[in-house]
Amino acid sequence: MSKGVLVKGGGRAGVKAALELAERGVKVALVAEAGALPNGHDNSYEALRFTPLLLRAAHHPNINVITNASLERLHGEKGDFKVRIIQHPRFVDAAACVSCGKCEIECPVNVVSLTGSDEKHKAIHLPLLGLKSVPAAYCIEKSGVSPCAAACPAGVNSHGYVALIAQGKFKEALDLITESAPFPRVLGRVCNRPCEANCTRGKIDRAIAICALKRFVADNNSTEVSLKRTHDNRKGRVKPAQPRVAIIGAGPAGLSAARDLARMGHHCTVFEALPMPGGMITVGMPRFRLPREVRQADIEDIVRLGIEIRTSTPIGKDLTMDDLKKQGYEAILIAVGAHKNQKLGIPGEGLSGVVDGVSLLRAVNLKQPFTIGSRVIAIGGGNVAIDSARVASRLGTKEVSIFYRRTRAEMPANDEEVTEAEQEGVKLEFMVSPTRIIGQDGKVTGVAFHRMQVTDGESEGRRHTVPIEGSEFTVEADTVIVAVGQRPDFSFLEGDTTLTEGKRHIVVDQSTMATRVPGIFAAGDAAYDSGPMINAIGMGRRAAISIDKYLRGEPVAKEPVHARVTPVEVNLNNIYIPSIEPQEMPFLPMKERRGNFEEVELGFTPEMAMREAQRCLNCSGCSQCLECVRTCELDALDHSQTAQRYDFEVAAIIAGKDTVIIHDSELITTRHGIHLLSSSDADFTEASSIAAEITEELTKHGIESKPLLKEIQAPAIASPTGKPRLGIFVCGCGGNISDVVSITKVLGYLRNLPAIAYVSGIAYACTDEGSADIKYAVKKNNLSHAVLAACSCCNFDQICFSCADRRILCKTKLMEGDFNSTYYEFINIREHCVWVHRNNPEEATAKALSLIQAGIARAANCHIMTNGRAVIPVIAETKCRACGTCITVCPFEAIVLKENRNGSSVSKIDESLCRGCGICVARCPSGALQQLEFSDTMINASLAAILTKK
Amino acid sequence: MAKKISKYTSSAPQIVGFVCNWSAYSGVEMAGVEKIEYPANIKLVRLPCLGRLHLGHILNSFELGAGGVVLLGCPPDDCHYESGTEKAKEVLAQAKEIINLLGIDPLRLGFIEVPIGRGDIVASQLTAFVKQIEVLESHPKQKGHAPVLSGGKK
Ligand SMILES: Cc1cc2nc3c(=O)[nH]c(=O)nc-3n(C[C@H](O)[C@H](O)[C@H](O)COP(=O)(O)OP(=O)(O)OC[C@H]3O[C@@H](n4cnc5c(N)ncnc54)[C@H](O)[C@@H]3O)c2cc1C
Ligand code: SF4
Ligand code: SF4
Repeated sequence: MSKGVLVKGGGRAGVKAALELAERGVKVALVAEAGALPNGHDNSYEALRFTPLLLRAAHHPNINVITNASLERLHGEKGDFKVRIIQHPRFVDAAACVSCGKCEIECPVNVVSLTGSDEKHKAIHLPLLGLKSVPAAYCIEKSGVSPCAAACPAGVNSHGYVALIAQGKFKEALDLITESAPFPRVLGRVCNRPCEANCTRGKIDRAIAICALKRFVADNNSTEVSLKRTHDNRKGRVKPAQPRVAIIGAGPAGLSAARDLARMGHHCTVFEALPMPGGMITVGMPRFRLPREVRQADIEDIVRLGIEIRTSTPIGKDLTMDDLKKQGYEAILIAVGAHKNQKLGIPGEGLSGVVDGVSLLRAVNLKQPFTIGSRVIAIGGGNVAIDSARVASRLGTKEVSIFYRRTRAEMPANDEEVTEAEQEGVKLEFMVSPTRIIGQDGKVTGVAFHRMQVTDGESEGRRHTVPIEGSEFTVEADTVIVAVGQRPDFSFLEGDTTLTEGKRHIVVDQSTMATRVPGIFAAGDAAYDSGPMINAIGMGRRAAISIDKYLRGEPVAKEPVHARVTPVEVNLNNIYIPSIEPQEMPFLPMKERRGNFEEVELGFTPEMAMREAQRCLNCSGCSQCLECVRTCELDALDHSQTAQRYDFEVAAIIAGKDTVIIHDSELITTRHGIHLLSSSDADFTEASSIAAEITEELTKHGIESKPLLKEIQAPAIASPTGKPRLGIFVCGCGGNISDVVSITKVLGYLRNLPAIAYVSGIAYACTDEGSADIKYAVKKNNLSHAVLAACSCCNFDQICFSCADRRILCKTKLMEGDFNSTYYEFINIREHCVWVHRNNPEEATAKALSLIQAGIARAANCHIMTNGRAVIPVIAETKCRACGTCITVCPFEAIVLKENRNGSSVSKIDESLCRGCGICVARCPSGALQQLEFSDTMINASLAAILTKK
Repeated sequence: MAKKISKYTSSAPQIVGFVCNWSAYSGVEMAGVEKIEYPANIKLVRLPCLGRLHLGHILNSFELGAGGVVLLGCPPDDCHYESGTEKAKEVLAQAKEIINLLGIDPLRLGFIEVPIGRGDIVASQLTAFVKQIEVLESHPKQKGHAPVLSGGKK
């Protein structure tokens, strides 16, 4: 009969009931909502007093502790319940974490404490009672993905890098950015910022300047680290003799794909029609927004990964796609962008003086000759229109105006750009549409426009507009820039519509970027109506994942590769968030802008960047910056953990009064077989009587309720034969000890002591590896005694107020197997030395050493154990004079006078009553009583070791 | 202590503290957990209960060179073994009389009552005790107290 009992909630009383059941032999599932067993919120008197009981419950073999969990389902009735427990992810492997706390120091995120106080804690934090929690393993507060990060089409973790910048971790921030997307310097200037549009702070005052922050770290830190990391990732991969992937177009889409493929170990060739790589970032965006050196640096970072770019090599007549296949390229990515200007379709477009925006920008960027008049009109509302107008205004024109057929709010161009254009003197006219371009002698003289009005209906998410009757007017101009959109130039397909399926772009599955022809993929503006750069990058990255699969012969599944994540939602109704002044981007003064192409936005200073980043609300809690993963030496973190479900069959349930129990979607408070604990804390009588009642019931049904006590095994010392062989181990506690105490000095000194057989440092004594290392050394060096200087304090089965989860584990692990006959002497040099003298490393080192020497002295003087409990006094019968002093002083009436075999009266200790205080030992006038663990020899040996006669 | 580290062993008086394993020890523990500092020249010896302390342990400490001895015990009404603190106070009183006779200032023997988990009390009181010993040390007459015991034996 194996059915046990579920204990859910009920605070300390629940734990008490669980322990009582367990000690009677009943199997218990002890479920706690929090990350640790319930014991209040602070290290109060009650909490510390209760700790030993908590520890005993947690380490009881009959108790299965499930933290971070709640009841998901409940069926059945008394004697036969079926329950399902859902355990929420902790994101830390509780068994591996030693709570050394290194991750907490590095974690950049502060979240408001769950306890409702103003207190803040890091996203990775200890459960409520800190190191005294049971278990004390770290846990991460993470509710999902923050809205900014979820909005990025290229999968850049914006929350992560904002959090890092807030703490001044600029290098780490750049690393995190380049881990996902390339072009940090370019994106930091020109990105359309879907992250900022979704930023929760935007609903309070103004969104975090996420993009400007990216620019700040990209401009001021080296990308060497991320490059090196990428190279390291690829180490050991054989570079194939022949590149297998051909990429057509070296724009953001093509280069992003090439970079990711290179990082995955593939070799690819990029074919580029123009003499320079970069696509629209090179030939489209003007220099005052994107300086040449900036995009150059971003492109170089990609090329340095070993990517071959063949410039001035258009795919078309001289080199066709078929040629590429024949040359052995197994996969082809079409990333040709959209470079063909869309016509207005009105009379006069052929006049001299009519130019297209894309060509104008390309000419300026490639320093090709071109002419521009003095009265310039740009038609359009996107980036191309604005950029062309701003370029024209820098070339000494008299007047530049933009005419757009919708409202300002509907302009696809970045809002800041429009503002900057206006500031630079560019005039804007909205709700106007050209009807014809007027000319004389083949040259432009002006443009005729209609005013527009809004009607019902929508197309592509935008409102319909129609001309207003009789509203025509003309504007004088000698140059007209047409910038109403671009479309891809598919002349290289030679009229084959297999890939375009009659559309303006190549038809792909947007999650895999695969076309319907196997081995051919498309990304960027060629595979979508022209969009922002970050979308092109995202597509390039998705294409790379699919191409990798394709090359490895795996199916290019139609599953989303960057799985669409649902952002967490912060409910702003219930919390007050004070507004914090945003940092304003410094600009180049207006008078310095005309006649040159100097960058207009100047970038943040480090202080501004940090202040801006500190406005972040940390919507999801943990920002997934992965600093903790990098820091943890024990690999204890697992950010991919998901909820776990456990099914149990139990005979009875004990629940806290406040615990919600759902049964067939009905809320129940009482039900046969469900015992509710009314008091959660102070009063344990109820808990005990419920435990007794349940045990009785179960026994009736044939459950064996034999007490099953598991306590830490005391070292049942077999008499160390011959001379003791002493070994010493010093734990560094992942820096907690070794950062203050010089372990090298301590070990060096100990090595020179006579009569020490073995000396060694240990990184973490309480881990599986650490204890295995110690046990191995004990065996190999034939040690009879081991002194461990770490954080444990004693080697016996007592759990006192000071004990901790990790110490019990440490001791248990060390004594497991046939090691319970090794005499271990534990010395706590962490709480008793390092942490209280941490500003005085030299004295801390000297003191640690002297405490270790006291331990050595005690170990060398240890006695042979006669019973498991080292604190119960033993009586040397020959010395006992039966004076009865011990009987009078014993607070527990544990001593009586008895006749021994020789007929003389001697004191006798009842082990079940004795609690080991040693009061009798100190008062025995004949020295007949001695506690093995606290013998006078040991106490005096300690004193001799820690004191030096001056 | 050996040469190698003696160079950073300060000339500060050596102080021995006897600690009860229960409330007092948990106070010492919490001083560590909360990282509250106190002087490093105090070294603690743990006992199962302060009731385990024998007069001899105190005298031996002075004999071995201690400049001060302090007992860290639980509040009497919160003794884990009922009468431990009470018994320790008897020993304390006896010890004070004896060391006085031997020419050791009874101020060199102290008692700190530590409620469970009170690291702050442990740290502040230990610091105060060390100060007190240092004041006594700076008084020339007080120097050389340790040999008195040995001298008495001979
Ligand atoms: C003026 C302008 C301003 C912009 N401003 C912004 C902005 O502020 N923010 C933003 O997010 N986005 C902006 N964009 C959009 C952004 O530049 C594009 O989204 C992005 O460049 C698309 O990348 P892509 O790789 O798909 O195409 P492209 O960048 O166009 O690159 C395609 C490449 O393929 C090459 N190619 C074409 N045909 C062939 C062929 N047959 N053989 C070989 N190579 C070929 C081209 O020469 C080009 O180098 C702007 C675009 C323009 C034009
Ligand atoms: S660094 Fe790792 S092992 Fe150490 S506390 Fe953090 S998670 Fe645990
Ligand atoms: S991923 Fe970053 S934010 Fe999240 S817990 Fe780790 S260090 Fe903290």
